[in-house]
Amino acid sequence: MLIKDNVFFKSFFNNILIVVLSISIQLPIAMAIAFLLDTGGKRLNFLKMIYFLPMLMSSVAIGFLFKYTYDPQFGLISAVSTIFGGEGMVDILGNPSYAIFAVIAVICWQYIPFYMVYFLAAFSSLPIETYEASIIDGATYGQYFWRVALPSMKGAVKSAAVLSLIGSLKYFDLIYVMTQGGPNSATELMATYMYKNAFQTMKMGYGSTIASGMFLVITIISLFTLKIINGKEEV
Amino acid sequence: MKKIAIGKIIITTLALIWLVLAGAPFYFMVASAFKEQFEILTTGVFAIPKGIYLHNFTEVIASNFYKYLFNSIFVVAVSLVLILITALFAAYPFSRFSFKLNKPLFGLIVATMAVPIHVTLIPVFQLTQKLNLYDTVFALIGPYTAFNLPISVFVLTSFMAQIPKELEESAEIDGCGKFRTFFNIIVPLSRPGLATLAIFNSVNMWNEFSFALVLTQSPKSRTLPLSIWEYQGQYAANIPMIMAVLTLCALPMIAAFTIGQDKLIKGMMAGAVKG
Repeated sequence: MLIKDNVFFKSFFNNILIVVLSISIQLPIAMAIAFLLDTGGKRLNFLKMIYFLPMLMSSVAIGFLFKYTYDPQFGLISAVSTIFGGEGMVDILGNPSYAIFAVIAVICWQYIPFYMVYFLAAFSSLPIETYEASIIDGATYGQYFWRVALPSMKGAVKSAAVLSLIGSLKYFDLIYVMTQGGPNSATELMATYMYKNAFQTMKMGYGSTIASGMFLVITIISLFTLKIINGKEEV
Repeated sequence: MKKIAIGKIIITTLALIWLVLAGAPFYFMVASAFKEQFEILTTGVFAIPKGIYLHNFTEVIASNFYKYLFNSIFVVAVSLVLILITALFAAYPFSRFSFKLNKPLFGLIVATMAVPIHVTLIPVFQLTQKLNLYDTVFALIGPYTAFNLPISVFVLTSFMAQIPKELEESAEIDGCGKFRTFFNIIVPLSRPGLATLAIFNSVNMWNEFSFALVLTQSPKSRTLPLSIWEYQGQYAANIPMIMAVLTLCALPMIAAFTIGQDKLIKGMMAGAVKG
């Protein structure tokens, strides 16, 4: 049943899409902001506070907030589009080909602060002497970042990638609140599909099958990644 | 020198863009919460509210808001006490005693951290129904305690392992029993670790959604995150009202953040040892 279920495959690929885009969007932006905050010193503390705000809200609140931000009639996006001469009424979440990207944007918005703080901690654990030494030797900030800081933060980047990967495979709250997997299962994830089958159409048996499939997929992918990462470290 | 300037300009621009992106939805939320229902249509979303219009807040608070707030506080408090006590008792032997099953048992606990909670929703739901706890606040305490326990044991064990062994040895020589050593030496010294865990777990449980959605149904037993759901059904087209609800729900966390910024950040990152 499960192997022939197209919706399950669709949701699996959506999960993979989220994994890929999450890692490739969240980590670089978080890294750049963390680098700025690290080199900027104390005067940027108020920026840090505002940047951190999204992490304080629950996924449900963020989901609702963005549902209305994306709202075609009253939302922020439509308002911005009229400023640039559009007609307004941009229905992003209702459009099957854009909805998933709109949702991923919100996921990035929610999680970038987390990785920002994570990288910030990694930056501040680097010894200040290497920073001073490279600046005295005439390195620019860019050279310091690419040649000195980044290579010594490999471990932090790897664990951030793993955290993002495993988190992305389990997303549920936000998507359930914003789109419930629609329109036409364009944003369906494994977890939302499982929830809908088990608790909305009350097919507990099939819901459990999807849950098992999900468990299997997540376990295999996590073990595989951990193996690759740990294997490389020992060499 | 030129290179520094260019790099700085790019990165500062990025920071400013991100400031707008992170701040705009918050502005939208708070500003809208102070608007009348149709003000948002006539003046546009960016406009500053005409005046301090508090009717949205008073109406939300008048309708059951305290019940949700009480439920959230009750569930988080009870689960937190259970988690911390159990984690203390579990972490001590794992960090100090050498017995045959120490490593395998600890490995098992760490392995359970990797289980995605959504996979367990169906069995937990059926168990709750069998126990006649479905749709009560007590239904949430079990899963919340169980699913936050592994990470708590893990963090606390590594914390306790750093407490110098000599302290315990000298206590033992002075004739202090195992229990007294535990309560008079280990527990007080673990306080910073417990504080971190308390913050981490409270934030997690305060914002938890999946179990609350599945295990409760009626407004009398729902927690704060689910209250947004209830209000949405009630005020679907009244955006300022929904935004008032969202603002009120975010308020406790933002208050906590402004009071203990660094502690809160450190506590929230405790989960990052995963992976």
